[in-house]
Amino acid sequence: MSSDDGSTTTAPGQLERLFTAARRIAAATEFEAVLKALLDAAAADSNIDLFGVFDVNARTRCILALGRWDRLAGTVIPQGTNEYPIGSAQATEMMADGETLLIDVADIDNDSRFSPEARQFVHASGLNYLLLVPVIYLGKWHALFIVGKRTSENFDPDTIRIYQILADQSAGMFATRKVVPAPRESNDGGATNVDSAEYYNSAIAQAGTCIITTDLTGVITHFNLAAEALYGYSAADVIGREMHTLIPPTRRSEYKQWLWAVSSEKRVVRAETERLSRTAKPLSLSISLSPVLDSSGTVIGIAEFAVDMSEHARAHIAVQKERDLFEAILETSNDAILMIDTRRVVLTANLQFETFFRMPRYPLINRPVDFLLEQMRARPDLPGDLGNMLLTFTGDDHQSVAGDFEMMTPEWRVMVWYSTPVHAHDGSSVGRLFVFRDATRERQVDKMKTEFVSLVSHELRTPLTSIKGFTDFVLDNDAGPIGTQVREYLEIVKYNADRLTLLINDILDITRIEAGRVELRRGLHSLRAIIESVVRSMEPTLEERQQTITITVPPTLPLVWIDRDKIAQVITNLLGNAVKYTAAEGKITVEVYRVERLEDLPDGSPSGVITPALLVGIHDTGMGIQQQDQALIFTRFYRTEQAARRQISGTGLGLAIVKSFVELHSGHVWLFSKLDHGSSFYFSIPLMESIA
Amino acid sequence: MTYILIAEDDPHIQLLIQRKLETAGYKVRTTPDGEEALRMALAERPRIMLLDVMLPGLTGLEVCHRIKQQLGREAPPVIIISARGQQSDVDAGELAGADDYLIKPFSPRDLLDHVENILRR
Repeated sequence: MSSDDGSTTTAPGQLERLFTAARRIAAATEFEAVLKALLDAAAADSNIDLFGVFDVNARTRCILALGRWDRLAGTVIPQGTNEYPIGSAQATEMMADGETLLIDVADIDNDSRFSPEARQFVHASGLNYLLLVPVIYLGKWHALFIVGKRTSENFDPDTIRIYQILADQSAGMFATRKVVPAPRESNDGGATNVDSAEYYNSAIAQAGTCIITTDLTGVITHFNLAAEALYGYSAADVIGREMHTLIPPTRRSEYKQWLWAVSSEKRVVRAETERLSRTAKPLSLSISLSPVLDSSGTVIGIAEFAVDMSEHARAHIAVQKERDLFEAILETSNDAILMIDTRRVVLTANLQFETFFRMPRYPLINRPVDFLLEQMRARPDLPGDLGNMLLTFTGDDHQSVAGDFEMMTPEWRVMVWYSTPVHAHDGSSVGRLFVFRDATRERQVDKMKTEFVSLVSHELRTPLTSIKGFTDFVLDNDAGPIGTQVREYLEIVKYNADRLTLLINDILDITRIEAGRVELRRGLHSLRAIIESVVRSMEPTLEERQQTITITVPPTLPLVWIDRDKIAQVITNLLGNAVKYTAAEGKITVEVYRVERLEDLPDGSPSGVITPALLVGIHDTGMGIQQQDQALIFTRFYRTEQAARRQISGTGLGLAIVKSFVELHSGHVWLFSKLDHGSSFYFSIPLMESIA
Repeated sequence: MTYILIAEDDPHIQLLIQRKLETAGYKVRTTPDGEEALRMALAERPRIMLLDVMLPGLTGLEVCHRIKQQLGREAPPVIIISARGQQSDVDAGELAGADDYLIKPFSPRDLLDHVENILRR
């Protein structure tokens, strides 16, 4: 019976068909395509009259027709579910071992290997010879090819070999088809255990998953509690009705296909679909349909398991989406981000981290920070500050710190960094975040700005020198006597040239303050002397405006450790404002006194004032400052509406400079003011203990 | 007549200083160039020198430093005239050996006061 005779040569036409079929099988991704390739190969084979592909259930010894070609009937893909018993255990065992059986129909009635049904089938088909080729994959029997001939000639060895090769070629696809294995107990034991069935029914009814069973036509036979809860129908409502009750019209053809796939191919279908609840609310479900088999392995129904997507998968998908989103954000960031957890393990390092420090990040992630530090130490081009900073603050759970460092290779760069402990919602420590930003451009622009302003200011001074100088020269009568009219006009030129000079000085000062380039040149100085000198320098203006300044200074005051010029400028600016914003009959006073404790300060003074200190108060009875302006008045370029309306000249820089200079001395400046009643400005200069 | 040497490259400022000092009765010679100023100072021994900082050739500070180095106690007093008025600029002048420092823009009367103060010493 075995046909292992490979001595003859294969006819060219047969080989070609074999190659074509083999190619199609190899390229197929779906089982249907494999089946089609096999049937096409058979249809083109003039040596045979019938070719059938059968699913094999080795346990039940039954075969199920998947596809058939008959020279008389053509190609048929059966929709039915009829299974045929193969026959005797002997035949089954031989085929399960991979043996091809060659059968002469004339002998079949005497062959005990075949069942009466099989004999009947073979006789009805008018076949004379049969070839049974098992499809074996990794030692397991998955399918059966039945090849038949109606001619008086038996199969030649080449034909047998070709169908054996096709079986080998397609075995993988048969094996990976989702064939439902028949339940073990019911087949081996034969009889059904009633208690066990009840047990099952109860388990299904109570299951948390929605389970519905139908017959092969889609009529509902079981509807468990979870299904009732999901759909809003009671089991009594729907049992006996079609599944279409639960399926929106747009999904019905899809369901029909699944029904066929499950019932005829015993496939398990997994899909996402929509259903309708009793209240016509759309339900988004993930379902799986599987065949229900009887003891002989015949499909008698379909079981549907459903999971509500909106509650399960959706939450999972949402989490995944969020994760993707955050990862995308991290990766797109212009800043380098490094996160180290509480176990000192690198949790994440983003793309920019890799770019900034030219260090592949994936080897770093999920490894101890010490590994990262090791990598950094091996890199002389990275500043030592970087590693030190990581070493110092990793593991610190409290401080937020910031700083910067420079990198020299491959080019000069300034990196600004900050690091902060990260806590979860519940306050538990997650680790520490390090963020690095390339501030090179900013620093360059900053430097350029400062240099530009400085350059412009100096360049402006040169023409101003000529304007002011020659005006003074003429006013001094050095170019000969001048008339009153000419003198008056030249005084205006001189006044504005002086204003312009002050403006340039202010701008230069503020630029230097912003750039942090102001340094104090401290010495021990007498505030009284400075105040007197400032007031003296203002005498021409005071005379012109018919104003006087009263100075109240106690006879004994300690010297203070200050930058004389800066404090002189503070007093000049404050007194200048007092003069500018006070009418001729107004009163301007300067007082200095020593405060030992905060309580000695005037009511309403800020609480951060460092004591002991010398306090300078400058009081006027001028136009005053509105409440809303008081907080902003020390901001650079800020001018009050009143000042603008009365066309009082000023740059809005004077008080900003005052604040900066006072704060450089660790002092405070503040004010009390009432519109139309005048203002009091105070500033404090802390006394150093050794001097106090 | 007291001879004052002025090194200043801006012609208008140069003219301003020259006119003010001449009006006050001084003999004035001017140059816009640092190296020239050094050469003139060594050769002509002015009674006092006014030096701008930003000069072609040598800066005013360099000229000042070299004269003070080369002539020692014989060197004339130097007033630096500069558009740069920060404390660090004034300190640089002092380091170079300058006797006085005047910041632009200045009033010509102030300039004369500074000159006469130094001459009185």
